[in-house]
Amino acid sequence: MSNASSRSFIYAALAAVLCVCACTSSGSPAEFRDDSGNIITSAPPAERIISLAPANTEIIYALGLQDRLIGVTEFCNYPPAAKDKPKVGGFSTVDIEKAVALKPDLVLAAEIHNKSVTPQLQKMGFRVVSLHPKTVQGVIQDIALTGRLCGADAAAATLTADLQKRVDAVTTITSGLASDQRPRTLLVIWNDPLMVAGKSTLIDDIMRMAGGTNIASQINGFASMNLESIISADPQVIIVPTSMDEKGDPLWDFITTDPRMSNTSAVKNGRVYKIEGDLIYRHSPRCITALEQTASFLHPNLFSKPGQ
Amino acid sequence: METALKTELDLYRARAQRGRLLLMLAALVLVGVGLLAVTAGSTAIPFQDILAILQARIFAPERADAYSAIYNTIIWDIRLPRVIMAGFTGAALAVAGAAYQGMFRNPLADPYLTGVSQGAALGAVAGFMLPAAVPAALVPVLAFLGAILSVAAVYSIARTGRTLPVTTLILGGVAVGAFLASITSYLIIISDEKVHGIVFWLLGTFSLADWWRVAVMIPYIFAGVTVLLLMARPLNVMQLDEEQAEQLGINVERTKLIILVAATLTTAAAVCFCGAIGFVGIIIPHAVRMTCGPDYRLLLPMSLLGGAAFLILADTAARTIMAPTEIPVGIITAIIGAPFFLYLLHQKKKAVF
Repeated sequence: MSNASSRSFIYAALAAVLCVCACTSSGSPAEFRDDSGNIITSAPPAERIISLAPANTEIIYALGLQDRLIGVTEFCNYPPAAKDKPKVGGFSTVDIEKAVALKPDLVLAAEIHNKSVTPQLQKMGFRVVSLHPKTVQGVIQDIALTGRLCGADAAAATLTADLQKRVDAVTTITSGLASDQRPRTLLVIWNDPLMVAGKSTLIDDIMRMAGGTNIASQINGFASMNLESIISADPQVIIVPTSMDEKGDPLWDFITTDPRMSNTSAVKNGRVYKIEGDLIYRHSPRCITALEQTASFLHPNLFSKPGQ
Repeated sequence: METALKTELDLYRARAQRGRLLLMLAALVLVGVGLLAVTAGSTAIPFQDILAILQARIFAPERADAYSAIYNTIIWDIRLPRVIMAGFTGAALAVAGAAYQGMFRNPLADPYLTGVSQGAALGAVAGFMLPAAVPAALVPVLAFLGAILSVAAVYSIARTGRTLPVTTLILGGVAVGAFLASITSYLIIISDEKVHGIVFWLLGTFSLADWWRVAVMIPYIFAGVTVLLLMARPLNVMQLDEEQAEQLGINVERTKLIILVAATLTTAAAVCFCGAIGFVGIIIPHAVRMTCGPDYRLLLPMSLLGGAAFLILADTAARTIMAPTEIPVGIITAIIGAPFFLYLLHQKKKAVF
């Protein structure tokens, strides 16, 4: 047992070393891979970019590369100027014909496109890079990668250094917390059926970095969770993402008014917090704001409430 | 001559006696299954605590405070309404399925063939699409409307003159069902945001069960099932031949209409709170037919008890197998239901119709 685990540790260490080598030897970009494992080949800086995910669009704007953005999705609403860009479809429903007609030299896809859109475009010879980081560090790396693909390394370096500084400001405080100082936290994404953010999600990483313990850590990805399991795990903090353009909020109403939820410490102590869904669902630079807000929810005495 | 008659009568009495015994046995099994389901869950609670909480809640609510609030909530407000809802839904789907099969005299008839499920599903999905200002409580009402409207459409299409031929009814049902299902699929495709809820809903789940939903659903199911149980004798006669049934003094068209409305009411009430759960309406009545015979006076109540027990067990599996996450119960009913059905078919290859 211990032998096997030490061996796997050695493998992991070896893999880490190899990874570092690959990243530092920037002379041969053929060794880079995107979040879906596609090898990224070298090419001249991208000039005509299509973004197939709202987060990717936000990254392009944050890098100041919006003039090269020739196509976005109907859900790309931030920054507001992105709404005026030509649309190539919804999130999962991409109009391939339209995308092809725009003659992009870079398509920034997401996980949802892995099975259909990405291979289809790749087969036609388009350069598709898939961004779907599951950690805050992964988001920062993907911003750097996007900068490199567009020949905007300097802009990317400035942005990532700033983001890293904000991340460090949170983690220097939370990393010293003992496990009993980390409130049991739950992020609920939908109420019928009850669905939560489990492990292997960006949200799980944000929760941990913000100094909390995700009570849904046995669940993989975004999945349903038993009401019974939630109540017996007794969350101390519940975070409810909201959609800004929705008038009613059935999810918030369920969490705060359902009599069964009133047994949880979070509801009893009034520690149910709203967070803007677009901040915490997207692997955009704004997820650092989500991290700062989450930290202030979990540890109001350690962090002041950050502005939007 | 007299002795022959006497033996006939004895045989009849023996059959009735056997039927009563079977029903009592099935009722006992159902109570046992219900109790088992309340004890099963992702949280381990000692069996005697569960019994004590149930006893206290039923007979002396003030004594229940002696147990932890969390246990009380889990047993009384989460598990019990869920088990009751699964039981009523299973009973409703099985009885409605048996009634549809008898009315259409077609072993394939179930809520799906008559467009009821598709209509209910479309109503519910349309409810999801409406602006968020519309209360969630309206979704089941829309499901109900969808079911009633689709069955009315099928009925008026299939009606030729004063009769309602079985073939046109089933063909009309399939066509209307396919049409409604395609609209539902379209609505699902154009909605990127709420797709999770809809997919889960279409596969069926009891994860939303609470006392409010139980209280709303029970009157509909109770009324529908009661009417269907009263139709057992006409259903028996209708199995002969529609002309013979008329000659025996049964108003066949009116009886069909009563059964159709009652079965649709029952199905829609069941579907609208827990989604489209398949297989119960076709598996349970067939299993009962194979084990207890085709007499509707026994078939309907046995389907009621069997359907309830089956769906309670399926839902218990759905919420415990992968706890703390859940599987849509419709997947469980299909996984358990289909092989069981095949086994029964293999055991009794002779015609039961």
